[in-house]
Amino acid sequence: MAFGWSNGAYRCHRAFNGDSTTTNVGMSFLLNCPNCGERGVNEFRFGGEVASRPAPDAVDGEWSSYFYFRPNVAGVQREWWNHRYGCRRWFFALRDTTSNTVQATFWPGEQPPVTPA
Amino acid sequence: MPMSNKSRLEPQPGEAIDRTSPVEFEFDGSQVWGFRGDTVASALYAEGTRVFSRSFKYHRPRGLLCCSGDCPNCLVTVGDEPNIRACTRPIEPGLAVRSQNSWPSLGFDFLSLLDRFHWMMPVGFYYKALHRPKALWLLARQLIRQVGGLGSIEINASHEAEFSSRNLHADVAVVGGGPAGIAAALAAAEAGASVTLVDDQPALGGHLRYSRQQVDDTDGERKPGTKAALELADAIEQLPNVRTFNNATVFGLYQDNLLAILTPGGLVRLRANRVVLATGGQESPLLFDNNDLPGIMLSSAAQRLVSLYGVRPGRRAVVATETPKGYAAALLLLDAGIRVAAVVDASETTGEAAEAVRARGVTVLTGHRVLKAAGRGRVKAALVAPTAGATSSTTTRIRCDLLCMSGRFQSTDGLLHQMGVSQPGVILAGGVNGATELEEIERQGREAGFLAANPGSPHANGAPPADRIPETLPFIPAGENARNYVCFCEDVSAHDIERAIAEGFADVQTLKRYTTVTMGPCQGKMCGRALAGICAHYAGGENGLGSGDSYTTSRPPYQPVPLAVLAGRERMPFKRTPMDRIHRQLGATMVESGPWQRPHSYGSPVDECAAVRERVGVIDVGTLGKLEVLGRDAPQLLDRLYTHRFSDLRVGRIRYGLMTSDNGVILDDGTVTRLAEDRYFVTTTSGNADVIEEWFNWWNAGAGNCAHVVNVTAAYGAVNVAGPRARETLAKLTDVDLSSRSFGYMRSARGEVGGVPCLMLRIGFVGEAGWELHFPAEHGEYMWDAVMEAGREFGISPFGLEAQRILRLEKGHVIVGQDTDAVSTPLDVGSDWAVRFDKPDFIGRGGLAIAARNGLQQRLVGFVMPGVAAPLDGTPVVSAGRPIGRVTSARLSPTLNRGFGLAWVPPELAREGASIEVLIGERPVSACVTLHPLYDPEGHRLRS
Repeated sequence: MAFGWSNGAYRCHRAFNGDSTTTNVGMSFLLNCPNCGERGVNEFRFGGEVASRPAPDAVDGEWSSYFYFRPNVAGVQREWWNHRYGCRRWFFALRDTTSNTVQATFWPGEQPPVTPA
Repeated sequence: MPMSNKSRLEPQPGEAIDRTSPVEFEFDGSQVWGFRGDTVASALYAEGTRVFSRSFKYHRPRGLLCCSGDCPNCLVTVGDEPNIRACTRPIEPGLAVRSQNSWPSLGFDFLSLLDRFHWMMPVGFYYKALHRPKALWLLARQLIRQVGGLGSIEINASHEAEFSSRNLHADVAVVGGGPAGIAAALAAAEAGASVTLVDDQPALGGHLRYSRQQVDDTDGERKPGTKAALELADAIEQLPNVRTFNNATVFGLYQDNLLAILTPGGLVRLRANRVVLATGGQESPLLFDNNDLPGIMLSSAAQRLVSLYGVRPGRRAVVATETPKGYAAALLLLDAGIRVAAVVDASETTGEAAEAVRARGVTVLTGHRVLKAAGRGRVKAALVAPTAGATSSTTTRIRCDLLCMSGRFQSTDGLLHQMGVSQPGVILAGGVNGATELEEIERQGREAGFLAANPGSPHANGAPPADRIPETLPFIPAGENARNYVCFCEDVSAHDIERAIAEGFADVQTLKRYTTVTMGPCQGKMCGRALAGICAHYAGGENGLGSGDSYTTSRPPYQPVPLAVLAGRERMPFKRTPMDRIHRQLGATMVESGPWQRPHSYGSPVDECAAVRERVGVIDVGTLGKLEVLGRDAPQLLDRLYTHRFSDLRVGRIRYGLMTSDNGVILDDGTVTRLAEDRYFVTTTSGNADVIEEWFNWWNAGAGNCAHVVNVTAAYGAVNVAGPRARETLAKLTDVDLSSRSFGYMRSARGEVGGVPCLMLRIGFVGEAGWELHFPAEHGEYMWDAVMEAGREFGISPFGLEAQRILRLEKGHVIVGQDTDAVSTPLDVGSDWAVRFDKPDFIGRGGLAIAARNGLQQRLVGFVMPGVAAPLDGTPVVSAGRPIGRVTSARLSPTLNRGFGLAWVPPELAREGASIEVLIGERPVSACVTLHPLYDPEGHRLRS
């Protein structure tokens, strides 16, 4: 199938952020957009942890934990980010949630340049 | 002209005031004179004011202490701004300055009675004494809250000043405009970097500005510090790649070198590649009994008064010092004609300055310290004794009206500690790094500037000095009743801290929280070192005070910041449609609608409704989000993102689309037009275009599909021409056959309208036959005029947002975000027909399948009122006085002349003709539920 929706690697929790004018992440670290380079995090929209979307016929419990539960890792996790005030593209970041240090950023579909510690 | 500034000296070399420009302002109701360049504090001091404030807890009189904007002693209210530091606020004609925290006056403060009973109110007394019985605490709390606090906020103040936030970038940020900071800025700028230099004083130069000491400048010449400061400031001004902020404070240093700067113009967020911290430091106050009497100040404060403002700080001075700096201060006072009764030196200082002081016949007592200051409300004398073995027989009383303190140097390193000690990219230079000699300070500055400008060079990530705890002279306990203040902000004495340690607060961090020392407006600048000294004294003792880090954690803001600055406007521009100018010419009232400004109405929304229903109306809908979705996989992308199906939509046809998040909650709605097999034109609700574009791209990211989303919102202008005579109006402008047979409802066509290429969509949000025209934005004004002209003979009228809201409500059309909320699903709003469960998967299928199985919790329905009253949007639907739902939109229907609207109700009431009660004001009024549109339920007019 040419159309790769069921390809598990790229799925995520997608909470809708209706606020269209500000990102307001309240942090100051720099994020390296794979397209535009290093920019202040306030240029970006945070898309949350990358997670697997259940199969269409999954049981209710699987769906509800996908909707409402997050691992909330203390450590390195894979996240979605969108360069809202730049190229407006989505990418992945490996970020340490305890220190806000970003180990790598890369396009969905690519392998991370480093393996998380 | 100022008649007499009784404490004004003869003109001083390099002074900052202009004696030819007198300035008059007001202090506590009386007129005060000063000169241009004076601060509020220096002008008041020149006029004889010695008491500037009352202390926080005991209401003790307080005079100038630091004169540099660091301590809390001169907080005043200026205009309606409370807690302004008088020593850094320049005077202006007519400035209204008031003292705070005293009643009835600064000179006689009723609450200074509290000072007599200080023994009853040790640190934390209210926790110890006032918690039982419970009622006592409630009473006491009320009292304490009334008495506590410093300045009061003027609630009715009108703020003329507007604060905006700015974002700036620099290669190198230099914090501190003293000799180290200037040297760093010069070196970095010379290396080609863009530099931003931030200094908290009105002029660059740091301590050189008030220092009369001869210094060797870079050109090898010996000159007074004041002169060197002016030359350095000039050199900075010459450089085009240095941006300087004067009177500005860096109050936060955040990750990856983001600096929050409080400037006179508002908040600046500065992102720098490298930061040079050249914040210097200052003498610490000394600990002795009554060390807070007015007339006791840091020696640097006295030097500032003399050198910068030509003000005599006193007539007879005692200088108490631990370092050579006190001797330099004594020399400056002597030069200004002030008698120095004695220099009291806790150590055995030698050197140039010490020799010079002795040579001028001043009594120098080495190995001595001040035990106590005598006086009530003013310092009258210093009681001096040998450092070791003080007894009453060895105590000398020295008369004075000025007591200068020059304790060991404490570096101003709070910013560094905000980030922990290993912040990469931050380089220390000068006094903050422990340098004391000017030559060394400038060398460190140059080096730091060079490193910062060349980040590739080694050691660019500077580390702070290993030993953060400065050398401290032994702390000598002073006894039970000593008023030896460590913390001037909150009246915490050394004895209070000793007692807290004895009570078991065995760590500097818990000591801080319990005693509030370092937590006041000075943020540890005055008290940090004294606290460290006391902790060191008790370290390892039976109290078990750890000998580790004796500094408390510093957090932003390092300097108090007015809330107005933090709340300052972000510069987010409004969006305007291409017809914006015309709306304003027509006198439309504009409203904010998301990022857009839109016409609310052109006068009468009711008349505008009538025009649409009876004749023809035109509305600017350029605010609609417009996306083009292209590519081989475009149909599958839309099938996946919308609940409806679009792969089977025929080219040229339009279908309503509803989008949900994965849990089934409605995100957005709009129309989807198939322009070609591989090309769709999608509209989103106004203001949502960017977010929906992100939503499309999110699901498309990395999927490897041939589908592309292009946001064309700004490229196209749009109008909707609707009403029974819309067809006749447009027929005058286009060759496209508009008859209902060939251009039916939910069809599209491309064609020229008035010579402009248009995409024409036959849709009907307002419930009449109508066409939505999308065309290149640059033709906006022309198109509007052409439509208006063509419709003139049919009585065309422009209509605004309010009329559109009424008209769509009569048709029962939902506005996402107005009628729906964060839990509304398509099933709840009765749009089941737009959900295709026969698709194997789509975003929202999982959540909607669960919702469908669980049954509805609530339902959005129409309702009609019996009379001409309509409830307000958001009022509750009630049953037996209890809320069971809410009204989302309600208006007066011009067609029916009755109130009507949409409301959420329990599912059992969601049937035709059910009776519900809605609140109008406080009164429940019954209304009738309807599941059909009020207007043209069969849609004959829409399709006509």
